[in-house]
Amino acid sequence: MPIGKATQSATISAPPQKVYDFIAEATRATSFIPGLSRIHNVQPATAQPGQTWEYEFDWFGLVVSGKSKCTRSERPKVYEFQTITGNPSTWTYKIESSGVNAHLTLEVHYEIPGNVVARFASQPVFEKMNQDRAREIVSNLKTMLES
Amino acid sequence: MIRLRFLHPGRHVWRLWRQRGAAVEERWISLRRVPPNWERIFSSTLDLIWLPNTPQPGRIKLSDQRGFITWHESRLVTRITVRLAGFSAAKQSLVATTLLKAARFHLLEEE
Repeated sequence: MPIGKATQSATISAPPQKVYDFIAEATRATSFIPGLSRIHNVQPATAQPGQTWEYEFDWFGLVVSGKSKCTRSERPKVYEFQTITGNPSTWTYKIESSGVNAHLTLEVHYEIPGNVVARFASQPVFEKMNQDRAREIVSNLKTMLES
Repeated sequence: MIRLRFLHPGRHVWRLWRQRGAAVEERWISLRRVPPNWERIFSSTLDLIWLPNTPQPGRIKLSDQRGFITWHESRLVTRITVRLAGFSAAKQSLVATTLLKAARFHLLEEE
């Protein structure tokens, strides 16, 4: 199955610890990920490798739910999780110090499902959708942490 | 395996009206049999996104004159007003959307 990658970066006027702490609370993701309606059953409560949670996306009225697992939590530099049901994807937030600010990079690696591409979109369109979503997530994080 | 559902599992909450300017104000309506704990739903959501707030009966006030949330219960309906001010327009929109998601989905396990 082909692998896709979406990457987006931004400099955020906030210390890296603050950016990391905002991202690493799983339930907070509904405030900056478009379409993500609910995170629940987070176990254990604090971010650490092996932490799992269930998620629900509202996709044009259709509810898509699944499970994710934290795979890296290195405060304040890296936070990573994988979706472990459905289409596999790995989400990595890297936070670097940039003076008094933080430089945030989001990388999402995902498998491109042939059936979805065949039904709804060509592969470049599917990849652009994911790139646009990554851009929106990073922009939302900047908005929530700065203004 | 990803699960698909055609009916969302949350509460029935709809946005009826929205006004944007220096502040954003939205009015929502919720149809329910038993009112959920709106104070806990909204206050914990504001805490989660680091917005200090003061809950009062039927109302939550955001600190630093950043706005308020009110709710009025009748037999089958709750009318909710959200007003946010003092943030960028983009942040006001994100916070309002986060609160609407919470109104629909937060603390469902406890009902």
